[in-house]
Amino acid sequence: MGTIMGSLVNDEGDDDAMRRSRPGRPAGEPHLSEAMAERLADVMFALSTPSRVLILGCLLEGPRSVGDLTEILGMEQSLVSHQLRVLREHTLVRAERVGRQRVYALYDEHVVTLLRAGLRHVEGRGQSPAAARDSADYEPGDQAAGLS
Amino acid sequence: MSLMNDRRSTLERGQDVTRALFAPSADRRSLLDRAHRGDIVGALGRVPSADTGPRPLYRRRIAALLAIMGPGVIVLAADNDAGGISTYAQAGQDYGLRFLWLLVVMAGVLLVNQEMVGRLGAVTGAGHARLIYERFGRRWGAFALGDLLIVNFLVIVTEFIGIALSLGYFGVTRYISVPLAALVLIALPIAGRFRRWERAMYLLVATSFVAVPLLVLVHHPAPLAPAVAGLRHLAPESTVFMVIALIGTTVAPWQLFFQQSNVVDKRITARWLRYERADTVAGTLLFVLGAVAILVACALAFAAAPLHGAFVDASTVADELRSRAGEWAGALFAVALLNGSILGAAAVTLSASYAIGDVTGTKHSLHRTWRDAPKFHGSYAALVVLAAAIVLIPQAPLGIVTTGVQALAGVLLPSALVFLLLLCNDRAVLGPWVNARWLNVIAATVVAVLLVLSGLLTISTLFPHVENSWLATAILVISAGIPGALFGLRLSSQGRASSPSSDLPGKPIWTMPPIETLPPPVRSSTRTIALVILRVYLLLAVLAVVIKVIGLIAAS
Repeated sequence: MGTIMGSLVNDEGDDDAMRRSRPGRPAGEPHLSEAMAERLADVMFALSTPSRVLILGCLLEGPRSVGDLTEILGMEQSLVSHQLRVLREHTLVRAERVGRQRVYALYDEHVVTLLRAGLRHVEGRGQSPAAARDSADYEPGDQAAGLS
Repeated sequence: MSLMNDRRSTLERGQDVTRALFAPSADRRSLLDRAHRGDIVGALGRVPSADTGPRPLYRRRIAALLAIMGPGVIVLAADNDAGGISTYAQAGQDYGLRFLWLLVVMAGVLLVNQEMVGRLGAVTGAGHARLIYERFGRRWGAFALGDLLIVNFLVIVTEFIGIALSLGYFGVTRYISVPLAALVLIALPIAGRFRRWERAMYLLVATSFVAVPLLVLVHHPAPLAPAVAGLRHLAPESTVFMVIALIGTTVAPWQLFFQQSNVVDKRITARWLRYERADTVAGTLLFVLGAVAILVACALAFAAAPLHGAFVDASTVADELRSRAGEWAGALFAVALLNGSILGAAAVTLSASYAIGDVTGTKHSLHRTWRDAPKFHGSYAALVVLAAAIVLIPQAPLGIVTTGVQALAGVLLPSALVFLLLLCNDRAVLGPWVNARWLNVIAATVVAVLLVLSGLLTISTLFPHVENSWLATAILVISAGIPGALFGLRLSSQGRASSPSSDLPGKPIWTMPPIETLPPPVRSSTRTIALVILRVYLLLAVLAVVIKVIGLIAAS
């Protein structure tokens, strides 16, 4: 019983079911291996806490030290440091030394793009798909993905 | 006909899934690692994350229990590790059945403690170390983590000593047995499959039953009666020490950290708390069975023997068992010791790696492979290799290690229990799941008594000449237990004042909000008193250690 239900409603990355090979996927789709899916899900997990997203949003404007982030966001310093460690672990943020100070920056251009796209996605969320389609950055090619 | 049946069962299954999908889930909101979210994939079954609906059928309840069972069983079976087995053997050999009652009392203490950490894990989704950091500040957090790592390291060394002694009984040199065991230990979690790791642990848990036939084998050489009598030649102070050593090896801080993190890693949520409690009860029974078997077997075998009252170490116990109860008895004892040492080493090392990942925010899960979580597996392997290397150094001061474990455990254990008790009364952390009043009274009494006994253990380990009499110990224990009980009552009444009802409608699915959104801990007088007592206790313990070290330096 348990295993049957597991295969029906299994939407989480878990051991055995995820690693089992799947039947052939439709041609033309980009190949996304299980391992890649796991890694991507890990990155998305790092984005799943508002305080971490706030920190990333702050870094979108440029590199910052822990002190700066604490001041701008009004969070406790220990919390900021902790969340930065999580973000580093998931390669969303990197630390570099500027003089005697340690400064944090977004890991690379991909992270910048990811955050910007995410923000745009959320901003368009309140509208219906039709209205969203009219907005400037909506491209027809996205329609299928957006509605499915 | 069969087609109809098929169709009907498919239909029922579909409804099941639908119902399960719409049942409120108790998903954790505070997690550090994505691998801590998802289906429960236990050694004996699986529970999908969406399947949180009610379970009216006993068959399904048992299936869920089998899937969820694990953390409690493993941690409590691992309690009968190298240190545990040698201490039970010593108690049996030197004191007969005199301390059997103590094991039963200790089982109760273990049950209370482990239930609390299991609940913390399921409801908060955070590890013990992280909760201490968040609720008591960075200094206490660093202290708890540092102390845990040092004691764990020393405990792992004792496990390797156990491995060397037990395989030495079969004629294997430690230069082969210890590296081999280290390799096995490193290989256990490396595959990154929780289920595989848990199955391996279950195999070790099952092997720990070898202590039971031992009981049958030794029943022949000596009748029961002399075992109970004949304690005249033992000085009372060594008896007190024996009591404290038994408690010190049985209730250890790594168990708290291990079970909480393992519950989180196994993805057990508040929805499954009842099952997790059953798991802890099952583990406690396993602990009692293993410990009692060793103690009674040694009591029977050594009754009226020349070595009665002259415990040396675990390997002499095995040799003596062979000469008194036959080949099989000695071999069984050695196997039990080997098995306990490996099980203990696996769990203790893991508790350290979990705690490190927990505090540093790195990935820490048995669901992850070495490549996926290099720091988690790396810290685990490093601890194992270092501990094994120390045992292999010729003329290493292993006696000091054993003494150090007991003294340091005495320092760490009460502090871990004070944090545990305060965390279990923190409404921001446990919401409706905070301790019930009766549990607080029991737990606070236990903590107070352990505080006194651990203090005595530390003092008598460091200063063997200080006299400990039964009377003084009893007076100290009672004078600590009564304020402890009152303190427990006070703890509950303060919790009630801030929120009148402990049975909120959403109780079964209440989970801790993201840890960063918690309000700062309420500064109550109870909390302050507890932390002040803890500070004073630690100061005295550290002072004792410093005096001892100065004395040693002066003597040399």
